[in-house]
Amino acid sequence: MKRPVRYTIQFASILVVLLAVLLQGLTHAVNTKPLAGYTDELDTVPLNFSTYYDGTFQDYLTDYAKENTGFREWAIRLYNQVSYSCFNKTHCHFITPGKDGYLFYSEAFREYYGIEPLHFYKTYDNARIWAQKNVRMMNKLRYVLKDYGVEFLCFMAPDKAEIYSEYLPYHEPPKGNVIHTAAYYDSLMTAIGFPHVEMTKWYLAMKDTASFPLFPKRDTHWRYAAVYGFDSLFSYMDSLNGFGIPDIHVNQLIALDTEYLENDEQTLNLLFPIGNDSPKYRADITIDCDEGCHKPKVLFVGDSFIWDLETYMPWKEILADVEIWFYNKAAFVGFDKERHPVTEINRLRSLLNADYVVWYSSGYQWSRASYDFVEDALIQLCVTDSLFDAQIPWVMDSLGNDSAFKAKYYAQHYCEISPDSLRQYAINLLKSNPELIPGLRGEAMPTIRNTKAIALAQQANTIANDKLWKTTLEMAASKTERSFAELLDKEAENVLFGRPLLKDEIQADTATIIQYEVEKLINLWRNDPKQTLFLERKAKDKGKDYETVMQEDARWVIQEKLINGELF
Amino acid sequence: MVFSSNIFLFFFLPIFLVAYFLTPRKFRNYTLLLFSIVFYAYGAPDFVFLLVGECIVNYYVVRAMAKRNPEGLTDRMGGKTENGKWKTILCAISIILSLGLLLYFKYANFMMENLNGILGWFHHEPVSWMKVALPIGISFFTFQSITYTLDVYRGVTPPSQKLTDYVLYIMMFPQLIAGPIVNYNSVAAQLVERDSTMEDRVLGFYRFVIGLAKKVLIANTLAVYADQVFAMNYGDLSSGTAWLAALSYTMQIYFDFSGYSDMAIGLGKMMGFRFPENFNNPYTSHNITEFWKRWHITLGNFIMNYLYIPLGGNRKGKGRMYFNLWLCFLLSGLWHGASWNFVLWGAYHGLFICLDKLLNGKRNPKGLTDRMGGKTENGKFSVLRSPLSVPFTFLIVLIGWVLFRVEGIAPIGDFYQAMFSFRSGDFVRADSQYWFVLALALVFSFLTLTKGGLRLQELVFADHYTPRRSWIMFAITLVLLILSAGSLCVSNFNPFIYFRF
Repeated sequence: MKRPVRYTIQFASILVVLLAVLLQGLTHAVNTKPLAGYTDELDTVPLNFSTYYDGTFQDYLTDYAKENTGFREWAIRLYNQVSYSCFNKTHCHFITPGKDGYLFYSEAFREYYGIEPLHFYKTYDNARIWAQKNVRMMNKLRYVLKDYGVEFLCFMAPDKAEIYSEYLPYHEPPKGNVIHTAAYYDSLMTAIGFPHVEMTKWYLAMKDTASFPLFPKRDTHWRYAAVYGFDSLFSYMDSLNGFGIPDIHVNQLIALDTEYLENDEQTLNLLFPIGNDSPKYRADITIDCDEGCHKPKVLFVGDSFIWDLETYMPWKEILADVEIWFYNKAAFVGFDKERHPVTEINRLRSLLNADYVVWYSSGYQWSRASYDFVEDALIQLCVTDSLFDAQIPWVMDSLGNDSAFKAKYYAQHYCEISPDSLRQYAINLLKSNPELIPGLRGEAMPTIRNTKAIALAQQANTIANDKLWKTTLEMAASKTERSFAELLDKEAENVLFGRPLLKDEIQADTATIIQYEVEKLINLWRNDPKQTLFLERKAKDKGKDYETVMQEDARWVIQEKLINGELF
Repeated sequence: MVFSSNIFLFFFLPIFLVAYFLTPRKFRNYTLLLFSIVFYAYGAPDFVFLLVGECIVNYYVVRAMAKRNPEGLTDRMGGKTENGKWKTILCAISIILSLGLLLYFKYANFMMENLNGILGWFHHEPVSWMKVALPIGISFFTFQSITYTLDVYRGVTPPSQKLTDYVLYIMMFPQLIAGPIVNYNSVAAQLVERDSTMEDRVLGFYRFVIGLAKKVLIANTLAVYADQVFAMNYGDLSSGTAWLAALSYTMQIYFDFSGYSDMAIGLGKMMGFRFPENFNNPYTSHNITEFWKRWHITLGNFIMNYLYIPLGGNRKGKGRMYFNLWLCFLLSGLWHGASWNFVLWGAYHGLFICLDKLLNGKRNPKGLTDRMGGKTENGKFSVLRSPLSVPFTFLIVLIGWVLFRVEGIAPIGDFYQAMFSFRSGDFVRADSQYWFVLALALVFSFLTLTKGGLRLQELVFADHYTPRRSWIMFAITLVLLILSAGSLCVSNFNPFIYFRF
């Protein structure tokens, strides 16, 4: 082949490759398997003079180009595969590859060596002081909640890095007075008799005798083996106050034939699976609920290890109601896991409505404890708004006189702190350090209560737990386009202050409520494609109108609920 | 916009290449200029007008200056003619305009910070000022503008006949941001008339991809370790870690900068431009003088031609020569950035250049062998010296890079203490990919010390390939492009695993 032709072919190929990538980036015409893992969605920035001149449009375009590079998924998987196969290295910052195909969560790996707290507290001593303060406040919260019949306890899930440490990659022996956070919290809680279940020791003890792996090779979570942990948790909860929680019998774990990529391996985004050497199981569980057995309402606050409760256990047979405050950020309410930001729900009501509040954490997450949960709960339960506001001026004064604080602020903002900013700093400081408030200070148990707010929350819970009352208020909310929460609070105030009740004003009869429930259910079905399809087929089979079938079915479901006492 | 970014590689570049090669030959400069303005305006929307404005003013000033040429600069008595005076004044205006912008935008903050520091010593209130933002590439386009003015002033080259050609010379996107510094006279003809064969386009693209791989696959990998260690508290560092970090940075900066130059040269070649080489295996140098002939060659040439020689070079005695050399390096250090670290780094290299001239300069002139082929005293000394001179020079350069990399003056001593106390301490471990890449970087850096390495370099960077070699190179280029793209995409993809679970 003559040189010019050869180079023409090569140059044409180069252009074709570059243009193919460009066109794929713009059109995504070729379907590529999406990458695993969650990334924040890019906010669109419109092109105008202002966004162009201040560079925000260019930043957006640069990010857009990164996320929309043609065949990016293939390029990433190929590069990840080369790195993993040649260097046993992952490009997912959260995953550390271990020996023999094991994968570990990087934070758990650092926690095993006792160095994880440095990331949060800079020194090991600071980490210890923080842990002591946390446990002290947890104990105060427990004391306060107990007054209202709520048990507060801790559940310490095990870390895979602790259980399968022999598969960890090499790490320099750490220097200094390292702190194994979970073990340290365990010792502190044991010392003051704080109720807690520590699973690591138990899992280590049964590691050599268990007929199944206690953790999957390529997943951070304990998955199927969690059933033994939850079994212990519920037994322990029952032993605290003899609540009568249903008995859980884990009969056996049954190996499954199905093949799927475990969670951490998915996130590595490789071309080929690492191996098929990590068996999967499902749990065979029986629940006994005899006379005197009660299903508790539980509020779980903690990390992702909680989700295995839903996946591997029949949680509706064990619990009456559940709320999960995931990292104290997102609240998943009820078995349907209706999602809200924690800050937007009535946290006091949730705390007081539960029979148990379980602080739930795997080992490496203890460095993050308590995601402001304990601090916030203490303030909600103990501190009135007026007491809180009364503390702000002196905190502002102390901050204003703190030259180190002011110098740090100046270095960050290049200006003196304004009174408004100082006030905000003071509020944040009080929220994160409730022990600054009189009545919560020192080692003594809290001597103050947020009495009025507690009474309102308790009354609201009473109303919400009365199905007829609740439905009446829901109906009123729906008709007046006000929120149910607003009406609930108002009704609770009405009860406490002896005002006329909304439910008496509305005076809804059973027929009206049933009609309301039917309409609610129909609305739900209309937004459910599967149910819509089912009803369309049913209507066709019966030769009836779709709307008629839907009305009939909805009415039948509500009548059944009424008969079974599920409605009110 | 940088070359090693997704938006450049997979959006800007293909659109540019198609547009450029579809444009009729005589209009290609306009296409290139348009894309260059878009390229610059993307990253510096507020400075693009300044840059274009400066180009236009400078173009007309230099044209006016050039018109004063025909009648000469001096009269019969050696005094300046009216023309000569005006020419000098216009030249000065052009230089002051270019240097003035550089001084203001690059050094105003530095000068004010130092002034306020001095005022603080005397318990005076600091002078308040608005921080000045730095236009990207200003150091490079200022120097290019100066070479144009001075070359025209000296009569080395006639001025550009078209404003757009001159603006294109300054703003051409391949070399706008990070060089190489191209003398106007070396590309003047190409700006007017150039030819890019298919071979140029393909070989240019190969060069571009080699540069991309040097930057993305080598420099970026080494940067992770260097960045980690240089961000630590140096008081806790073990000597091993400090040396490894310094070595990593030494390799990182070479592969980063030379990679960028490769990309610029490659892109230029695709369009028919012949940009000068900027690096020539600098770490194989036997002394610091040689290092500066191999490292950032176009800057070295600029300093030599436009600073060292005008200062008097070696024509005004040895003492003055040493001072000139040292001053040139001091200023070249400052050119790299407005910080005392760069001044120190320049002074450090200036010192070794002077030492080199002082010690080695004497040995050179008489050669290594006598008339009979036997070794002279000088030759014997050189032979004894030579096996160690490369690692010794490399060591000096490596130690110098610490001044360049550490942020601030105060921690420099701590880092050197960590290096030279040979103490144990926290050793920051690196993964196997890092070690592999570091080994690769070392091999590539010193490969040309061997005959085989030289031969390999000639094969890869040849002007013409045999058919077989060209297909091998094509395959290698595609693999490097895919791996570089993968690495870029991976570095931009940091998902959360457990958003929900």
